[in-house]
Amino acid sequence: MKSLSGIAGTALLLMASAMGVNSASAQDATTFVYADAGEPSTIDPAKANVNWEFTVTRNVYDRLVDFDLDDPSRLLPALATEWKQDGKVWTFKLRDGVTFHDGTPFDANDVKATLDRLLKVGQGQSYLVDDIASVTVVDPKTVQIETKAPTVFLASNLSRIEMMSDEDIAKHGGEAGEAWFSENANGTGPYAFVAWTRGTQIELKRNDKWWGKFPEKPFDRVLDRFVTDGANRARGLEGGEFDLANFVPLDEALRIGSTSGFHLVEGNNLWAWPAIYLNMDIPPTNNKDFRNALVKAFDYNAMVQSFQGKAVVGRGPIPAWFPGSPEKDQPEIKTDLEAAKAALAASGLSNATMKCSVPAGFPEFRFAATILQASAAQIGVTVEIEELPFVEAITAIKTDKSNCFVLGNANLSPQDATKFFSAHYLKGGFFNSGKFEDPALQELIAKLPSVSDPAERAAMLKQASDIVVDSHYIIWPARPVTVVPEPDRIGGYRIDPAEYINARFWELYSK
Amino acid sequence: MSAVLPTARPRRSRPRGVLAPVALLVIVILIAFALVPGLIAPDSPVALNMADRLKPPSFAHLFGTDEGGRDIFSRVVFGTRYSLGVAIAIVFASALFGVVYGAVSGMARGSADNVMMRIVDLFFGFPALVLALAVAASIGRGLGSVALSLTIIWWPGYARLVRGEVLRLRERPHVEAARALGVSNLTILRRHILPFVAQEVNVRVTTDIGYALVAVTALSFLGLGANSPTPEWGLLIRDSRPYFGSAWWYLVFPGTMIMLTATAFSLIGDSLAARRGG
Repeated sequence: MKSLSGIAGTALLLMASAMGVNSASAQDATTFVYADAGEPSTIDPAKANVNWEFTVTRNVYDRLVDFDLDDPSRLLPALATEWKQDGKVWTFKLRDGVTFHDGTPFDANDVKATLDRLLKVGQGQSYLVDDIASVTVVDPKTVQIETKAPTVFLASNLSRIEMMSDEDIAKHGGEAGEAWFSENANGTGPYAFVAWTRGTQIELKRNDKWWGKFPEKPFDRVLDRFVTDGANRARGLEGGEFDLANFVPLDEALRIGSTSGFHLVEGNNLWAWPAIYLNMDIPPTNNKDFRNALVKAFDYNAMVQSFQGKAVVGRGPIPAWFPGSPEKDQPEIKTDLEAAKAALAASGLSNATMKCSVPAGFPEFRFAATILQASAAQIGVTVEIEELPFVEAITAIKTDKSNCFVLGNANLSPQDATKFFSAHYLKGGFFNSGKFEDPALQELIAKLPSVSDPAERAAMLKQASDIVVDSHYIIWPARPVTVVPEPDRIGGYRIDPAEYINARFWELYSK
Repeated sequence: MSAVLPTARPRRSRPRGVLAPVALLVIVILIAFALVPGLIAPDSPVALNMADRLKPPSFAHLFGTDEGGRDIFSRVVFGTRYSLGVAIAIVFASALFGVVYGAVSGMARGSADNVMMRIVDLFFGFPALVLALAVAASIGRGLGSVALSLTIIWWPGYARLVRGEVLRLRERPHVEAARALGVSNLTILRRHILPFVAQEVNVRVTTDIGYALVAVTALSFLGLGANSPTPEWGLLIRDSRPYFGSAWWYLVFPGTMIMLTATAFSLIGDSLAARRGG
């Protein structure tokens, strides 16, 4: 995995300070106003990597396959209607009669151009398909993709990759300047890009010629507003200024959801929120017994209570609802002060002091660190908390200036856990901030995609998961349920288990 | 001979006005908070108690509780030491350095005075926030770096004030008389100038404590100051932001404390100034 391509192993949510946006009312039944947590830096599908960029790319472009949000192990046809794997070669049959918003037809050349460009650019979600060796156009409706090694996950990972037009890529790509794609979009998707008013909003309009099916009373026009302050999004949603908002702080979400005119949509998509990474390289956290003492001392109940009960305590890195998850066969992780004291005694490190760097702007992250501080104090360990901007915080642990780092985890792939493991627990992974290394884990993750028997894969995934758990590299304070308040006048919002947080405008309708 | 003796003495100044006693009371209470928080606060400022998470004000929790179930009143009481303490430290350090610097500059006159005052101008031109960021980057975030950066910003005000006073006072008859009698510069400064300057400085110090408090809490609010779980007031407000819609008390009480404290010091400063003027 090269440079920063591992970034999207986790949905990164970098919220800035308050910035309100004045706006018209959202009550117009044909216009949908969405309060997004940020302004995209790009809407190029080859580079987009944060939720408010996906808001545009996911709705304007289509993907070869889709997956069932209620059962991510089931793939559904999208731009491809059929597909099959034969060793390293996957063959996709493409849908007939699909056109881009500019009127040009969609065919196999578009798929090849898109994937070639994505891998060449090497940013955004390219890490999900970086095992592709070559793409071949068989005929206008058939495309063959060869991977470097056999992988059963290619189709599921392609459910995240947006298809662009080869004419656009020829015209605007290459040396001529990729800049066009950063601020323009021509897809085959349910909504077409209309305009981007800098600092305010992006406007989309419904694509009547879309191949898919809209619900009754869909929205003809979507305004994607940039509202960086969570409290402002919450208040705008409550006041009817917005039809929906992403990242509404949990306390606000629960409160708004219980008022009349609103209901709550709940779902699973988080792997950990947060996860506490311990530095394997410097004392005292380079001592396994010491890490074990922290894991055992941590007050998990306090974290679950801070989520007002809307959370479970993870037993390992992979959530129970993920296809093939070993979680049900793993032991619970619980607070056990006696065991923590015994582990601390075994470590020989009494009265230790450690530093924890926390990315600023995430109340849950800071609170997890506060709980760690209070829990560690009970066994005589001092934790100093330092809140820093995201990049400074992750740099602090990577450069051994800090013992611990706090981060939230989600996984963009609906079926493939190996990309997540690569980014978080393997050598060189961008989020492997505490520098964990294990040769056996490396080998398991490399081999897993080539195994065709699901039972065998599940067994391997359990081994991989156990290695991470037994190392005590990570403290998983909680795995919250995602809660989204939806106005009663709107219907159709569903939580995407592999994205935090999504907006599928084509499924939404007014009641 | 009596005309030559330094009979001129600064008049004693005492706070006055209707609000001044109230302001004094507030300050006495704040000082009690800072000195003996453990005797006043009902709970620990840091221990978590999740069962009482985000509870509104009640007799058990006068100011309500925060996201960790901690008593906000206790946190505010314990926080006085940090917020007010650092503000006072900044102002006193600035005053001490500024007075000496300004006095030396005023007495020196000529090119030395010129150079010294250009240095003051240089510090005046420095934006506080940028300096605070730079200091935080070099010695780490925390109240220590806030105190250092604000002191660097604050002292030039005193230097300029004191230099102006020294220039004015040194032409006064009692100073000229002392000089004519051959009294040394240092003694003139100490006995015949500084006692008069002290009045101005007292007013300024009192008013500035309020401003410094606002500056300290502002930097903490921006994430450059105190680190969790220090119950510093600015940090309390920073931490309260995600809960404003559901827990107003979390923001309102620490905010009110900052306002009350700044106002109290400002009122006392004003009444000192009025007393001196009248």
